[in-house]
Amino acid sequence: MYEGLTYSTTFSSILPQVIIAAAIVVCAMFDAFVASKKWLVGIIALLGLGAGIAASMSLWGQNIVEFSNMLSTNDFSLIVSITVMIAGIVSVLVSLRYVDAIDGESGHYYLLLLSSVLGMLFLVSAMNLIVLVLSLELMSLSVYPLVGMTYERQASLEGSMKYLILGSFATAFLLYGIALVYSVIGTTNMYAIARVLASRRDLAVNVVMMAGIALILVGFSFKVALVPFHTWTPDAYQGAPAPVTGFMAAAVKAASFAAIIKLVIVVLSSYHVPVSGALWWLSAVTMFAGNIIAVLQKNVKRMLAYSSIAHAGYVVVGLVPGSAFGMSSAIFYLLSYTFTVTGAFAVITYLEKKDGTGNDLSDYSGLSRSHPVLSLIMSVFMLSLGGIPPTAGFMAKFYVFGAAIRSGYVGLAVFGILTSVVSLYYYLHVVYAMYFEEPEHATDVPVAVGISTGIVIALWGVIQLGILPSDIMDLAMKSVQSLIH
Amino acid sequence: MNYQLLFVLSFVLFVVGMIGVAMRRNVIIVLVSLELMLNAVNILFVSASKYLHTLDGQVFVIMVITIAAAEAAIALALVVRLFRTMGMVKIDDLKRLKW
Repeated sequence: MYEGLTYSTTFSSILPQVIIAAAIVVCAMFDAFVASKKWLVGIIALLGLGAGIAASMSLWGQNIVEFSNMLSTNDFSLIVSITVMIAGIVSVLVSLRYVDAIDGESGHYYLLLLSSVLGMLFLVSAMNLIVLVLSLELMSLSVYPLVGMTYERQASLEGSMKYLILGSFATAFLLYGIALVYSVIGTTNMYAIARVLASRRDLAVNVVMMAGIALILVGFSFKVALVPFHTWTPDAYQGAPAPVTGFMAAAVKAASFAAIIKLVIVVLSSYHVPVSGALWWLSAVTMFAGNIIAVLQKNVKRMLAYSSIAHAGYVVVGLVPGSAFGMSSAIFYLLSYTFTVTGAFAVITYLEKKDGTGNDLSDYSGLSRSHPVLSLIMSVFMLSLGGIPPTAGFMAKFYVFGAAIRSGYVGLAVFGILTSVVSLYYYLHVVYAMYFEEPEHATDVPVAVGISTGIVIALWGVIQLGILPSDIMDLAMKSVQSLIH
Repeated sequence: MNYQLLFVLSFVLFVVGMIGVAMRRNVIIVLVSLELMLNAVNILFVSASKYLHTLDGQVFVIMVITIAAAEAAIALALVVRLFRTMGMVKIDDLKRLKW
């Protein structure tokens, strides 16, 4: 497993984390001493994230274990790090105007966003469950206040409170699960746990061990919002300011899923009780419930919240087979969903008013008359979410369902395709409203450079992944192989 | 030392905390119940660590205490904000968002 790898005690292997941590400190100083220009803090956050991506790329292909087997840097951790930092960049760009509109002190918005990214970077490179839990909490605890950022709005505060209570509830489950696993095995290192699991067949009938694994899965199902552990999602997504919702749907989900993928590949693949049965049901129920409830929504943000629940179900379809191809397709799905959903929420940010209104479907009617370009871009994102070629969403669904069929889970794939047909109804409803309905009131949004740049990045990703997916799929395959050895 | 008793204690505390989060209507009590769940985890870690003669569990407990403290800080800040905005701290009143 990890004994044969290079050991070192330098910080070079966690360069992206170091850069983000430094950016947090610089942002804090800037926020404190150069108080008048808040957007400058955002620019520093952007520079930090950009440097983080460059550092991640420079580490590509290496496999380093460091800090007493606590952290590992490999292609898997790097590809997910790059994904979440792209989501971070788009979110910061989208937030620039929005944060300026918040009255009073607002520089800490970027601090929280960056520290959440820092948590994600540590989460994906964690080798020890202690680091896993700590970084998961760093990520989550930074997002709770972001959701409640616009606390004058009751919905924002309410969403934040519900998210915090259920998020902490999930953490308690996860921790209890880890404690149970530890009480059986006696170590918290993921690779050491895997070795014990593989060598001791008696653990397959050990109730404490099974309960521990089940509780860990429940904890993570809360974090990525799988039905029936999704109840916080719609409230938190609707209550949060639109840029934060985009960040949660893209980055928080991608990082939590990366942790699940890592657990499944590294630990659970050696367990003699297969978890794929549980994942099968979770994924089927999630795809069904998420898509059906989304059809009923009138608020676009809340609709996308249920759609994000449904998409979590599609990612799990890639995990069910347990094959390397399935895992890579799940990573590809996360990347494509990151681009699509941050873009969609960038458009929503354009239209969201300061008091949190402007998100109803009726606000989108006739948008193509006043804003033809914005409508066209929103349509591309909606088609990508619905899985229509030539967008990233189509290729992502193609790969996950392909992986399921290849391993013999034809029923699950057919069910997934049927639910995604249902999902087309509400995605195309937005397009229909923009192009074929009469505008109820005049919409006039001033052009914002930051949001537009964010939209361009997201659009580029959606088209690129939709037309030339094989390069990225190769990278995803390499990243999964770097975990297996 | 009777380790089984400690494991049972931790389980009972965890279930009590769980019921508290699910049933109680006051946000403060819900937060206390959450702390109870985390402390049940701590008891399990410490007793398992002593039982297995490895130190990982004790290290974990210190980290869990840190997490609980950070969580409480943010939760209480939100509760204060909630009280100032809405004038109450009851879960039932958090129902503006539905379906």
